[in-house]
Amino acid sequence: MQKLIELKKDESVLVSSIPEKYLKPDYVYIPIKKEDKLLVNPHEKVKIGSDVSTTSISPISGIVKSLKKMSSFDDALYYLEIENDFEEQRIKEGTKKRKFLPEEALKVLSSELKNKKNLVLNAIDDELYVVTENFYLFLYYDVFLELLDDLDNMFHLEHIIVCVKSNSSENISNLMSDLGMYPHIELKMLPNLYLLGKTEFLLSYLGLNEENTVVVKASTFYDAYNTLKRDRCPSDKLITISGNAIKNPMVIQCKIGVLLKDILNELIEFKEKDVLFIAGGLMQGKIIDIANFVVTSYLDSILIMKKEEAKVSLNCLKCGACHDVCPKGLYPNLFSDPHYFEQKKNICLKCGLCSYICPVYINFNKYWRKDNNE
Amino acid sequence: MNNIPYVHYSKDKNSLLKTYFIALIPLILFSFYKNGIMLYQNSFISFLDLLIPLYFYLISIGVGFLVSYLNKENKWEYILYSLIIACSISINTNKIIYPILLFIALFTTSYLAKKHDFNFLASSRILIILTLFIGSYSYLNVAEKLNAFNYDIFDLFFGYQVSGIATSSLFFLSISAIILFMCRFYKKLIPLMASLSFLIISLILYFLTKETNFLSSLLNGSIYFGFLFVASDLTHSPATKTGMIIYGLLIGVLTAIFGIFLPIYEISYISIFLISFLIPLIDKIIVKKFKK
Repeated sequence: MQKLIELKKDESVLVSSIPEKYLKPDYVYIPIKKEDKLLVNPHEKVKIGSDVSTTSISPISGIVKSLKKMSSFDDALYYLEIENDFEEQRIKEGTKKRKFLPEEALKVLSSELKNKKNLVLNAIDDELYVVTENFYLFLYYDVFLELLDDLDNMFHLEHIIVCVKSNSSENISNLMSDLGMYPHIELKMLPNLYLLGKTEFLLSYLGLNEENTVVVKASTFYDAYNTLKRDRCPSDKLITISGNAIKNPMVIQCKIGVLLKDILNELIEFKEKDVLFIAGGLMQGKIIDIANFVVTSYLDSILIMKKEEAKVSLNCLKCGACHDVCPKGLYPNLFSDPHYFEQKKNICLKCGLCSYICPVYINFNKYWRKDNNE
Repeated sequence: MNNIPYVHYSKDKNSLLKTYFIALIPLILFSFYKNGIMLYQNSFISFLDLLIPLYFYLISIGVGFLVSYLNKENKWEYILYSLIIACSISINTNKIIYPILLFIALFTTSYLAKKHDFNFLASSRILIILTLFIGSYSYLNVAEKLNAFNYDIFDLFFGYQVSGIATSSLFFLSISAIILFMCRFYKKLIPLMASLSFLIISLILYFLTKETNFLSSLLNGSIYFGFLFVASDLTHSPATKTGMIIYGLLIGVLTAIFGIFLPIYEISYISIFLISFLIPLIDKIIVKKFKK
């Protein structure tokens, strides 16, 4: 088991335990990547679940407008604008719980599930002030347990484990009260260590073999639940909007493809004027311009932080602290050597721990910025 | 993105500097007792002589501040460097020449160290030896010159032995080591490996030659002070753990060998100074190894 550390955080940033909803946007924007082929035409009517391109579906029912240039966490070139008609028509109107076939489960979750012995439901958020995965479990724990039980009956798994952080008291209390009905499902309460949300470290901590185990994030499990049990296409998602520059950090259930600006205008109260928007977390995310920023399926959080001056990097002390915390055992202080960087860049997790620990505030992400031409 | 303003470990370089200062406190306090209060109580020195250690500390702090100001560097870093040098010098150091030489040594070596990677703290400390040649080269205080007290091995360990102003006590050096080792950024591998290799080589040399000098040097605080405060320099030491181990080992071995023919109070600084020229080479070899 690699040495993992707990991150220091501002305890005054607390996310509300009541999620808000933003499910009726006027417009949504679907990312269209270079390799995607559009399957709809302007003014065409689409329903929830209609294929709009070779890789994406419409999260709302409405009218297809045009392709626009927007931005998001994905690397999409253009975004297809769809105007909401608020009729919420679906391709499949499945609302009742249904039985599903093993083949469907294999398609939705993992084709390797039939060969595996263990299934782990991972509801751990790594990033500070982000509780998205935690909230998926909090809101849907009862149906998640049902689905886990169905999967157990289908695939005869040896271990089914639900992982939560030990400070997630609501989830623990909810699960404890319901787990009596599912004797095969185990609850594991994990310490608040950074990177335990990553499959590799989670399995190492649990002492499970990657070859025998499938790990599913709670967010993915929510989509699987909708597809398998409700026969619905995933059209909405949870995101955490948090940070020290807003009065009301919260988790928001919103349609995939909404404009971030619309959510902020509608639900968020700012307490600071000069702020930074960070998508994807403080450790691994990036600063964004919210002007045309679209909430896509990969985005789990937006942190709104009071603008602070970046710490000036000093000369490297060569103390080796970055190597000590590196979960991959790399020497980030040698990244300035192009040959070393070139060889190790694919091993690096870009977890940000080296910058976090550095006593002279060296921003090791600069090497990636160069690499990614960000 | 630069996430550092929002999420960072609670300690940084300033915490490390603070730790160094805290680690020096027990040594400095004991130096006031050994080279001042104890001698004054036994009427070996006058009241004014009580202030000699304080003079060296204050004048060194002043010089350190001046050099940092001229070099436009972190003042606390340079004050620490000069204070470390003050702790290690002889009580017989010439009081007028010392600040001048300290200034010249710190200023020139720190300037040179920016261009060539070597331990300028050790080199500054070596240059200070010149002040001793103006008077007589001796680390003995008044009582030690008169051989006024008889000490057993425990007393030697506690610090009643010939050494630099604040480097005589292995007991207080152990406390300093514990304080420093608790700081995550302190390069503990260097003093650990240096001490270990020095002990082993000195013992081997003792068994080969039966020279008691090798045994007495094992208890000399000057050597371990050098390992603890000078070898683990903030910037001029290897970048990798393996490099630190090799660097520490080489310093320890060379110190033990130098013990055969050089004065015991400076051998660790000379070894550190010489081995520090190998830092780029050590780093290069280690980096090459990791590339494989």
